[in-house]
Amino acid sequence: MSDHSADQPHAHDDGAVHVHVHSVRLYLAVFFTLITLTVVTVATSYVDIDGLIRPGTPAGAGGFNLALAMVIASTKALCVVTWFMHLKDDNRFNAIVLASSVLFAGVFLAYTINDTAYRGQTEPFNGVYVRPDTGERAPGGIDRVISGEVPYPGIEAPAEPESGAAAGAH
Amino acid sequence: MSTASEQVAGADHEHGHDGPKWLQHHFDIPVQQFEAAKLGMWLFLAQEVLFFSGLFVAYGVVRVNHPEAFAAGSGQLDKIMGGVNTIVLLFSSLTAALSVRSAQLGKKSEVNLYLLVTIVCAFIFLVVKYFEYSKKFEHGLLPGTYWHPHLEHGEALFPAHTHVFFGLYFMLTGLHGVHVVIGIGVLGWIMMRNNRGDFSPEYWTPVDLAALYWHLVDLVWIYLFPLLYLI
Repeated sequence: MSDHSADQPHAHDDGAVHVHVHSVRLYLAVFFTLITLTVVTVATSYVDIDGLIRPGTPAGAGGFNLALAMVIASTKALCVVTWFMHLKDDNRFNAIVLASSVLFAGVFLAYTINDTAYRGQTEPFNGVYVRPDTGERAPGGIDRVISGEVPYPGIEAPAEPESGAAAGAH
Repeated sequence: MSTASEQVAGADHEHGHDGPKWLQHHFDIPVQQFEAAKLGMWLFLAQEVLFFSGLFVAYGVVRVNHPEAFAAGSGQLDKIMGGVNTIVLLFSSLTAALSVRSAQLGKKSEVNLYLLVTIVCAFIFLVVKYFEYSKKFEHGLLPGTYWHPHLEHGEALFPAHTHVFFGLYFMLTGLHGVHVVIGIGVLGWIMMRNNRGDFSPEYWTPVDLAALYWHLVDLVWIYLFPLLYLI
């Protein structure tokens, strides 16, 4: 009785809740699909797909392993929300509520990473103390090396800043 | 609204209207109460997605900047233990869904059984998590200032920022673990109500909503498992 015509989703005469009771077999099928996908995603994690496509990619830096794992995870998530969480039978509005939260989480993620991942490229002197061209203190430059960490090449402790340049930085 | 709304239009306006006792006074008909409850639960789950999204974004930002630290940190996690926990949670999701099905059919003892299995799975998940955590504690793979890695062969070398990976690992799995603990409480409460005879083929909304919460806990883990253990 999954009668979800948008205008009158549950226009039953008695006002009672009518749902379609699915078979145990359907739930088992969803479960075994989820288990299969879990095994697949663990198996693919042992294969260095990024290294195969672009040899020499440092571990964790490529996107193909990540993308594949996320596609599999999203397929699993879709199975869970569609059948286990009954979004297929529900009022469509509930699906819209979930989709909108996922959309906004995506906006949050995309805009934040679009900012943080490209900072060094928009400001070429980020990560250096002193601009090599002018000798001024670099705006947004990292001004200390965190103890115990290997500094990036190019970061050097500033030589005695000239008083004129230091004052001009503000 | 429907004609059923007229049935409570009695002028006396006392709580003993003709509806079943589980039908709240401010709802006209059962289906209205059901839809309202489901919508409310879905709004809560949408909030949960956004609640977790902060940590997922932190993961993304740090990972983009320090992929080598994430690869090294991820390599310290036990894929097998994580995989077993994934299967345990997926199985508990199945039994949660089956408990709702049994509730729809009014099979009280089956609802109890499925809820019990779900709760047992939740405990198994936490026990496995305990063993994983204690191993990380032992090896000093801890966030921030507690970071002092010492694996079997003395001092271990990790790329810079690997401690940030473990910060995210403990925050994400910890927050998820808190949800598992709360889930145990919620499912236990639903079991108690089931034993009390609160539910019938006409009214099983609380079982449905508790299962929805449990599925969300499973959904979060579906993403956490590959992000932390596999890549």
